[in-house]
Amino acid sequence: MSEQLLDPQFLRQLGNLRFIVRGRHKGHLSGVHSSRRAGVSLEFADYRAYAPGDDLRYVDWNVYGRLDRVLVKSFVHEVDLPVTILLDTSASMHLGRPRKLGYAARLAAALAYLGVHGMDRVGVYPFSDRLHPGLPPRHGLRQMGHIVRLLQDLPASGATAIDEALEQYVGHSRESGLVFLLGDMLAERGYERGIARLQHRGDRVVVVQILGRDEIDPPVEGNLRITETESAASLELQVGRHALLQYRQRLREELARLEAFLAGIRIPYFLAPTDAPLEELLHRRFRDAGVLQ
Amino acid sequence: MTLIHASSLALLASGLLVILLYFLRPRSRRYDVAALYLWQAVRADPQARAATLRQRLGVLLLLQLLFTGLIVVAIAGPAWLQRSAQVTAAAIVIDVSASMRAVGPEGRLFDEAQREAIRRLEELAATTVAVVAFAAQCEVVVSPSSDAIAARQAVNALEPTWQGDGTGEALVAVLRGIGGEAFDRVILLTDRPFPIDIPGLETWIATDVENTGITAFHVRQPGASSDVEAFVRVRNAASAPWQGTVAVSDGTTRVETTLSLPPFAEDAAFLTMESTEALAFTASIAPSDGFPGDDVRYATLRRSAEYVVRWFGPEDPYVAAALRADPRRAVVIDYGGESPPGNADSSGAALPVAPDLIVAHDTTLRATTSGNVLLLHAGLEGLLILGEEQEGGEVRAMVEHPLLRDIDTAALRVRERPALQLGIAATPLLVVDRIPILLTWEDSSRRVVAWTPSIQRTNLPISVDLPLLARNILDSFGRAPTMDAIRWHAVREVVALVGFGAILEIRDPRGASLPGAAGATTLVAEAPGVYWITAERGRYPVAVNVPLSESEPSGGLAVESPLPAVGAGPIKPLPIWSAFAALALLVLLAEAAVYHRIVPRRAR
Repeated sequence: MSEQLLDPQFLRQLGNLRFIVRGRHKGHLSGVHSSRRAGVSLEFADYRAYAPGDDLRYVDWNVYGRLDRVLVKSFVHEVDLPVTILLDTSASMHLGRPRKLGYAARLAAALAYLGVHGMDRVGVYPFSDRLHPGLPPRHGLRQMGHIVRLLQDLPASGATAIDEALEQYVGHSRESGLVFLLGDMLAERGYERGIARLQHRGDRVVVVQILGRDEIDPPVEGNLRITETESAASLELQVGRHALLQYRQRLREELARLEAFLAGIRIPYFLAPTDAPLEELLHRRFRDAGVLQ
Repeated sequence: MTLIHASSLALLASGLLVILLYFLRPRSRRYDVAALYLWQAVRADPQARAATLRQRLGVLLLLQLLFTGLIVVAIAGPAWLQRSAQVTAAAIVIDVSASMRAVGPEGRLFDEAQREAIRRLEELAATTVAVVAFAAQCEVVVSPSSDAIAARQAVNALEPTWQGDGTGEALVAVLRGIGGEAFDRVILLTDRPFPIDIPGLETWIATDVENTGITAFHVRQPGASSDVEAFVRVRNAASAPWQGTVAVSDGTTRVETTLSLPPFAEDAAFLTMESTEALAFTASIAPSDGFPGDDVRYATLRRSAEYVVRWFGPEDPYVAAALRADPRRAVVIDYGGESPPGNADSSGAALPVAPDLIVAHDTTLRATTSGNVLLLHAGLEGLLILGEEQEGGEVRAMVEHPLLRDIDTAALRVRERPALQLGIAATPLLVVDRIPILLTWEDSSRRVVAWTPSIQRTNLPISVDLPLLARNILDSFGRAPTMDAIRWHAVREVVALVGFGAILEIRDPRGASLPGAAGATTLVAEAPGVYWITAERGRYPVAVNVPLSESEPSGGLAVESPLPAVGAGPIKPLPIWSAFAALALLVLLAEAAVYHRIVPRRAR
């Protein structure tokens, strides 16, 4: 699975990508990501009037000589970005062709690689109806190895409770950062509270909803006993063309609800069918949405 | 294309099993989903049942049935009938059965076949050829040889017989006998197709001849009168109506009636011939048609016949009455040594008839006496000599024997019985003081039953056991044959002549004496008609007819084989089962692909 997760050719294609962080971000270690907070780096940001206590090394003497004004150069403060990948490993992620969990694991591995490659700290936490033990954000290729091993052995089990899992994550991680939420987002008990909590804490959240093609367009008909994987609840249904139309309509409504909610709080949202190329998601859609550059 | 093991097609019934299994699948399939709440608002689709049915009868079922069919056909051994370029050996089989005597628009059917055979021989000039005459008795006319002239002469010398059709098994056996499997071309020239499974068989069919013939003829004597009733059934196997006369003759008297038959229909006529003593009868229809072989049929009559007893020694009215007591036999007792009434031939001359039973009473027979012999207080020279009379006693049965059937031996009383000298190993049935009083033996020339006491010295004359004993004796001996078993025989049918006594002469329907008939035990007639058998016991007619199969219409038995091109080689089967097996494998792979494509893994 490691070859599937980290295909060398695929990694080479990812080499030039890095995460974009918009808005103010408070990192506690230096990194490669620019922060609106002025700081010390090689990248010039702006001038401002000198104020007592400013470091005289940053006074622009050339400007003072020409304009007789004491201005202090400010520079972009470069911080490291903790990237956390929250991965839904509930039993429903076992479905789909290809399986949703496999697709999510590949995506998580790719995002982790991008983070490590960009000198960011990267962590991964699986969750289902609760937050499972994971890997806190750390630097380095060694962390990448830990992440790959974790992703390779992920079991799909348990129910889905996004709100509870995200609450636990917020309580567990005291540091905000870039949070990727990967899962099918099919949670009858809701997800709004957990996502809002993340954003309120200052996390930059990206939601990727992963669905199997057969979930979007079920290729079945006949007398079916439709069984929910996680709860084993089932119902008997005569499924034909009209029933499938109703299902698709219901799914569209559910997706639209999620999209509207995320748009309302300016969280990027991506619907990723598992039969869609991962490269297309990363290279085009993430870049178009300003998640990657 | 043909099938080498066509019976294997019965395995096609396994397709029913496929269909059964298809419909026995679980009615509802499990379909796993991530979120049931998305489906809970979905209403049941009324069209889904039809969709289910459509799916079940869909492409998967068709592919599975197609796979089953292809496998079964592959097992049945499909083969292309290929004609090879070179003929190495050929057999020309000419139908010489009676129906080939029919005359069609082109002349006699046999002549047509003969001309075709000659033509084929010329085509096969450089080939090893055998010629077989094909009828109930297959005959190799020319063994495999490349001598075309000899083969042509043999074909020209052939004549149709009066026999019935041959069988495919007989022909196969004959061909194997003369050529093994070497004949790669077998040309059958006939007037009707035969369902014969011979590789390389080509059937040439002569011009069809429509036929009307007698398909049943029977005569009987009702009651005790001398009238004879005849039953004649006529079948019109022609496409045109038939109207004509049906006649029955006993040689001197003729009765007839008219009959009208629609095309392909049959009807029967009943005719009565008054006061006739004849034994042989002839039925005929007029006008005759192209096949006269079944326009005339022959039958013999079953008449009651006497059971002849020749008596030696003083008469005994009690024994005579006992012999006549059985109503199943018309027993005639000849006391004077004269010839009893018997059959007469057409010339009216009386014939000597051997007795069915010789009875000796209070006398001694010569040692040369043969046949069925009953000794009543009588001796047989050298074999059974009666001695002085001795006092009788209690009668005891020694064995269970058919001669003692229904007899109450305990009721028998014997006042005197003679001493015995036996020159042969006899079976004692009843004894008095260990001395046999009823014994029997059989040797090569006679069967003997001996009652040694004088009838008058026993209570037999006033006992019911005497007629029972007489019945048992007559049953045990049997009698000379009547015409009961000789009613209607077909040409070439083997007629057993056992039981007539020595056969003296057999005359064919033309009145000619058959050479070598004296002493014969069977008769195999070569032509239809009435054969007269002269034997020791009398003179008997045997009716011989053309086999009924020859009256069958020639059409509809089988499909005529296509005529081969001139000079073409034999037709040989080229097995193509592997192609069907490969096709079945492809269908199986297609079925698997379709299955994986249209049925989600979690719904299987």
